[in-house]
Amino acid sequence: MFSCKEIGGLMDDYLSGELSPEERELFINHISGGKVCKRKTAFEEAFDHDLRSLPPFTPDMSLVRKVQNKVSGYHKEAETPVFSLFQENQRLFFNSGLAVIVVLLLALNVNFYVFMSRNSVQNNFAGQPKPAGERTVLQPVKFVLDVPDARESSTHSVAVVGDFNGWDPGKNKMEYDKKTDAWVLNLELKPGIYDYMYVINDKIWVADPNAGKLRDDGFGGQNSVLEL
Amino acid sequence: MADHDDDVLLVRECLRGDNNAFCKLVDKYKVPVYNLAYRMLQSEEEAEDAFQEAFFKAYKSLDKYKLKYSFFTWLYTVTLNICRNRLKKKRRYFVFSINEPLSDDNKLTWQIADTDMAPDVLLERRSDMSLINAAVQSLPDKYRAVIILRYLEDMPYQEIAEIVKLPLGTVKTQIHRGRRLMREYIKGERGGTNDV
Repeated sequence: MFSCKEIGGLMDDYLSGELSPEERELFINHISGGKVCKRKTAFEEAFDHDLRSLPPFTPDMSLVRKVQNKVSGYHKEAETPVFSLFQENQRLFFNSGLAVIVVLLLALNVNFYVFMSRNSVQNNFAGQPKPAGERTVLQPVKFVLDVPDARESSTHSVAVVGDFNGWDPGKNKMEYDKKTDAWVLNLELKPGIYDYMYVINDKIWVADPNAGKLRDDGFGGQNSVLEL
Repeated sequence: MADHDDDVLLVRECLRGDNNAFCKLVDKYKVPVYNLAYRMLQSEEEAEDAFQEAFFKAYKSLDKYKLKYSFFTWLYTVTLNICRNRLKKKRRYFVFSINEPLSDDNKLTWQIADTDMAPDVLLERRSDMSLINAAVQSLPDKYRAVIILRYLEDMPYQEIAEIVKLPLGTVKTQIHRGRRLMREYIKGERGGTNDV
């Protein structure tokens, strides 16, 4: 026979159907003979039932589609041909996996300017008075991606994706500047630490090799890190 | 097992370059992933961010997923880790009350199966469900995670142990303590009575 204390300890297993047939019989015999244990068991059964009946929170379909669109437009770097970014005479470097990485780092001469000092931020906002006591000052950030061999003909779009825009390649498209032959984007971000990457032609995701810091994304890849 | 085989098939198609296969996995697991994120983070905005991050991380690291394991378990592990990291970051800035129920009650649509209930009974029943929901949300993170997996996702103890990376005995203990804390919460809210 089980004691009332033992019954309490076996309650979870009873409710989960994990008691052996013998234990279950002893359990039921016990609660049948005592009002307190019977009442406690009834409470636990009702509680268990209600807990399992809690309705789930469901995502908006727009959110689901956003993720699906993001995945549909994504191609892993290693699987994506990047020849279109380079001149014909550079293709010989692609004979090994290592060469791919080396050439990618060299070909993407990425310049990344961050105005770090608070003074320069304030200067940039000289014409926009801030309310007294405002805590968050947006920091201007200039992303410059200089790809020497990528003219508009071979690179039709470049976007910046990161923590600040939900990794959405559709949000922050860079503009091609003919004078400097580079892709440029100015943003204003709240101070903080952001992971980011570039997306070239909506397909090729690359970390910024000239970023001050790179860090593991937890799954074998690397993100660039921006500290403001 | 058929479910697992279906998932493995989709994962293989995705690894061969068919991203639509992964979109099918997103569709299949959108509710449990979002539900876990929302219940752990207790904020619609945070849950949406975690939802996106979880699926995208899973996609990016699909080649590291071992096909012999359950894809759902793996995806859940990714999601839970993201939630935990976000909670850690959150705590650096402020401490939220563990007794505070979900802020966005409009998201909840209680589905009471028995529609023949009298209006007053139905109202009382909804109140019970809200209280139980608040009890779940009142739990410390480590207990809330195992309670969600056990009762809302109906997972076996062993699978939960794999996800939270704890011994089976510890998982059982946490679930037991979580239930006790919820009972105490409900008792407190009802001014001492302990009936559901």
